[in-house]
Amino acid sequence: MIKENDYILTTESLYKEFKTKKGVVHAVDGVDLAIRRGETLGLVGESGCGKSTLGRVIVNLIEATSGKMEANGEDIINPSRKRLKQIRKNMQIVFQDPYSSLDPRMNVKDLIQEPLRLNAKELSREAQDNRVLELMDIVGLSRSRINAYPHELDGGRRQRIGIARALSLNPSFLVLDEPVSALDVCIQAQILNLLKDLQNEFELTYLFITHDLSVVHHVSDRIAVMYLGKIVEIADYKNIFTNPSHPYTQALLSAISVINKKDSQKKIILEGDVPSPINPPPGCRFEGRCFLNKTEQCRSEAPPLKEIAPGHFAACYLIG
Amino acid sequence: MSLLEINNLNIDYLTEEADVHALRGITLSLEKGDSIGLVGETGAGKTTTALSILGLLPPQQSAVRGGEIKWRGDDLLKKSSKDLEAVRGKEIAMIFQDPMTSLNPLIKVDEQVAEMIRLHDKKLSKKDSLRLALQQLLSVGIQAERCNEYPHQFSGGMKQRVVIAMALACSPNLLIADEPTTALDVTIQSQVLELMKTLIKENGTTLIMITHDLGIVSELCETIAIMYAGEILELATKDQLFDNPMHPYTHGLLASIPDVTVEKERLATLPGLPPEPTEDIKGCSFTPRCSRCIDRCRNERPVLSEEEKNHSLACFNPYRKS
Repeated sequence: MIKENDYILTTESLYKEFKTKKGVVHAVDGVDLAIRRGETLGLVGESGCGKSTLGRVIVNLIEATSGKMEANGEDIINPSRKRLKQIRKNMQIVFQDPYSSLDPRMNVKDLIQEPLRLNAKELSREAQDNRVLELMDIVGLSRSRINAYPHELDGGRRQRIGIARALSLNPSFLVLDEPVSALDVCIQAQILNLLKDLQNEFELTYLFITHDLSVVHHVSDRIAVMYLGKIVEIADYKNIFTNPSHPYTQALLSAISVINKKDSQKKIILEGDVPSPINPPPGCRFEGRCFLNKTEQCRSEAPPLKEIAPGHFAACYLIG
Repeated sequence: MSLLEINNLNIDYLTEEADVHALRGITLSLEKGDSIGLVGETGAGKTTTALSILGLLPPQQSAVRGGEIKWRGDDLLKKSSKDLEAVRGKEIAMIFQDPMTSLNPLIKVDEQVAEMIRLHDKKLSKKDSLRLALQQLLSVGIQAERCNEYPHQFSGGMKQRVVIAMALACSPNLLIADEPTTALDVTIQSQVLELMKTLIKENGTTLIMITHDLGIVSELCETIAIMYAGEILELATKDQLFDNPMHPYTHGLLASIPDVTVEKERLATLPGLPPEPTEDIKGCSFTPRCSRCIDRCRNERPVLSEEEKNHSLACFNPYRKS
């Protein structure tokens, strides 16, 4: 059960900057996030908005530039190597592309056993072997494929290996970075069902990163919308879909191509492209493409997230 | 005479191990102004169908095992490559999935469009062709001052606009669009789709749209062909297909797509995977995954035939609204 005020992970003014020749990329630009134990928080946004970077900073795959981050009440920002190893047991990530995230020279057994070999040295060889078989059962990989190599398997099975690897050390929190985007719809449905079953069985918390709005609607308890390094709206998934408040969220949702929609609603077609995360606009990040009546404040000062209804936050001066 | 008529087209890709059956008897006909969406999963044969129409299949690695592709009554498969060149680009144009790789990085965008115009109208001077190219780029919403930039200076959405401008430069009768928005973000995707919709309507262009996204098809196409393992299993108008899907595969496909207007805990899934493309299939290719399979399905191959008006089907035991 999801509890209101029991957070598995919180971030406060989290920043991640990349220095490039052209200037500093503000990939994650001051993110405050609180993920409730047992929930699926969907994180949506377009390419380059910083959603994957945020996911990677959260599992400490890349160092944050500044900010605070706590898991289960303990500080986990930029930990020492030794400490990181402990933290990792509890937090894992599943990557988008099962074609490139698995070592092509390792077979299924080696791939699933690798995390155990590195992090569960107390387990005997036999116990590890048994755990591999158990994990294969859990993610629905037939035991007969234990000696197969990734190239012999289809995308769905490869993604099952990725999930088995992530689950091997019994984590309580998973970052799922576009876990079904590379898969065909029929396989996608199988993996989404599997993730739901695993969540129920092992009481997992998910940060589900995706650009696919139908998928995020299906899986999420709450949804955070990200634009150019910032969270612009966060709310219960139903509120996001029935009552989108930030103009960017509205445009994003109206862009969904719904199958055979009879009451075709007018699409909001945004002009232009997402601005560059190098030297982003000083005010509201969305100001240049916004279709509302913008004010001077929009141009000069970035709007903070404010609560516009219970549990529904949006970062815009022109609403609420 | 139909504009385009494909009859029982069979195409194999040749590999060292075995022949890959990419198309197993495709039959399709298009009249002027039609818009059809070819929908299916990876490996269903959507792109192969498109490439075969344009004669763009790799000659050493593919073989036509039978069938014909008639364009205004002439079989394109029998044409010499020189004759095909006159058709390609001028009468039939194609938009590819990835705009990043379908433009030449070394040539400015207006010159690329002009080159295409000049190729099909040899009398045009370079200056005139550039002027026409500029017009074309303006019509897809590229600002005049950006027309003599290089592709890398453009965003993905703008590059795809350039590709669209190029495809429509010679006012083709048939436009084949292969996943034209898959590589783009959703807000950019709706810009591009809106643009395509307007241009196709204005010019009366016939459209073949290839995609795995049924939402996009339902916005742009009147007819939908559901493809599976190199065949068309169901062919119907958009409304009929969504209101009354009859083939078990179409049923499964529609049920497995998450829908933002519906609340459900679990998605319906089809068991198993599509057949190996090297396999020779005796009966229906969907049999191993089908919940409505009967004995006949295993031994005899169902042929696409009209079940109701504007609704064709390759199935011996379809779903029927009772």
